[in-house]
Amino acid sequence: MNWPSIDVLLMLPALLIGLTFHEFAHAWSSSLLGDDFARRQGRVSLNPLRHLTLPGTLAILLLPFGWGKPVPVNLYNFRSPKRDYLLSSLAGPAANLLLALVGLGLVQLMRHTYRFGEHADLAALTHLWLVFFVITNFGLAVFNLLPVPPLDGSKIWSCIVPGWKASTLERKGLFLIIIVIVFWQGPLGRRYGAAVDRLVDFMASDYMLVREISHKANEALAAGRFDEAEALLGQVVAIDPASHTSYYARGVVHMQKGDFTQALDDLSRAIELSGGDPDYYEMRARAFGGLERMEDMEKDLATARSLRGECPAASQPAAGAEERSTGIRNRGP
Amino acid sequence: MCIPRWPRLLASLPLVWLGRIVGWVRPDLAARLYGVAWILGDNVDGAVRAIESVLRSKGPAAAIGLAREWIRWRPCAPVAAMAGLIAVQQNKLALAAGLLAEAKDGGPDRSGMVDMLEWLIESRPNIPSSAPNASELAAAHRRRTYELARRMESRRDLSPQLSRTVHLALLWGDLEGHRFDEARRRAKRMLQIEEEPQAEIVLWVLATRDGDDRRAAEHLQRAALEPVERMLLQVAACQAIGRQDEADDLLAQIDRLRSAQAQAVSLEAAGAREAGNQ
Repeated sequence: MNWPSIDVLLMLPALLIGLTFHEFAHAWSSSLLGDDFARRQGRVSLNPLRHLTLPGTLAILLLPFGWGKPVPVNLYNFRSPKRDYLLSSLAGPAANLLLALVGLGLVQLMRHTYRFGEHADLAALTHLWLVFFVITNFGLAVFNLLPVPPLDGSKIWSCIVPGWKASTLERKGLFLIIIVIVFWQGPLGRRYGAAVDRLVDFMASDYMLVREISHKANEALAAGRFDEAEALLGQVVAIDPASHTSYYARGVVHMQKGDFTQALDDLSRAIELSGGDPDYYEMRARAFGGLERMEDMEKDLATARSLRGECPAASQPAAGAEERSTGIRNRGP
Repeated sequence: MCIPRWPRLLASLPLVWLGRIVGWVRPDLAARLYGVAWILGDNVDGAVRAIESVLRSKGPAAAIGLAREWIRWRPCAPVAAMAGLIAVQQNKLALAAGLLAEAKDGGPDRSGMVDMLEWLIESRPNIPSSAPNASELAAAHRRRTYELARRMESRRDLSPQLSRTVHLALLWGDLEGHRFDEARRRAKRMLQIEEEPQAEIVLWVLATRDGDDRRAAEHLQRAALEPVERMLLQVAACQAIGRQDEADDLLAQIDRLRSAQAQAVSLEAAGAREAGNQ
């Protein structure tokens, strides 16, 4: 158990919402189709407490993975028992797919996290939660379609495939679970994993992209592939024009390449965006030195000294100093 | 209590769950946990489970006693209905009827137990066989039960168990009332929902009546029951449509089958005794 990692903390509310909507959808659809027994039991409700069950809740807390209390269905109340049972069984996974789609829409709205300005960190966290929300609901929908009792799939397939009966599937429940586990370890699990990976890639936020590109830029810089690092850092500042660390890093790259004019532009932008960082002034002083503008160089060195003098703590290795030495530090959670 | 219900209900859930775990080894302790859950969070599920635990650990009288004590303190339909169901099991119909009245005054019943209790009380003949007009009373009771079943059938909030019982009562009522098309339609609908041997037997007798032996044999084959059980249902079906001769034949077959079974069992026992002596 990796409790209480950030992943688990993000997953729990997503799972709780997913399960609640899942069970609610079964109860509500049954009620629409003529069976009011679930409504009488108080299950046509979005109150999660009405849908919790002991083993399912323990599983949510320990795994994290779980299930809700099954919604009782009275087939005698349906107008067309087989068709309506199929529809009410499909309603749960359909609700999860719908939630996943709604989540996907919200993800699209939140993906440009840097547009949220000073709230970019919060936006990135919200986006990350929405990604968990989409994956969890997508997982609930897919998992529930497996033809294993007591999952919805066992009811759905028994309504669709002639000769399949839910009672027969129940008798073979353990056998089916073993088959599914075996397949899940092999092709089934791989395909599901690939689909989830594709979904995550599709939902990637600016923050995620910047993190990935910055990582590659760091590697390129460390390996001395300056052209590649410059191109990658160009992508980063295109996504996040307020990233002073990226301008600083690109300035360092230009310095390494001997292009002091470009370095001066990027370092000046970094100083402007950061509001005054002694490291940046020092680096710009070197760029001025490269351009033989000694007066400006002296001025920047004096500013750097003065900034360090005003903040003696700054002479200590500051948080992020290591990243700055190679140039890149990300904003966001 | 001035605290809103949901936090109290939330607090009571672990007690109910703990009670379920403890109940495997200590039903008396589980009953206390469920009781606290009910007091704390109006957790009706907890109260019903508490009565079930007391029933298992101390017997029906203690369970009914606890339920009556609780409903005096706080009226609750499912608790009264649970006690009523235990009273029906004990054949104490007067007590059960009193508890049904209390259940009906005890607020909402999400579980559907009040309906089940009402059905069990109303559908039980309770006619002394020594009564001079026993057959007339029985017929009148069957009519009343059929009418009650029709009323219940129109409801859409019954539990699956009660719906099945009601549909079976209507199925046999239609057969006895010679409403054969209705009986056929109902039996087929029941078979769409679940494997129901009684519906197969009704379809068997209707196919026999229509002279369709092939279909009759199919229905009989699908009625997954022990031979004697199946034959008893066949007797009831034949009697319902007025085929007394066939019913008598079947009863004779049951007698022969039972005596053959008894003989086989006694031979087996004798063989076992002999083997033991040697």
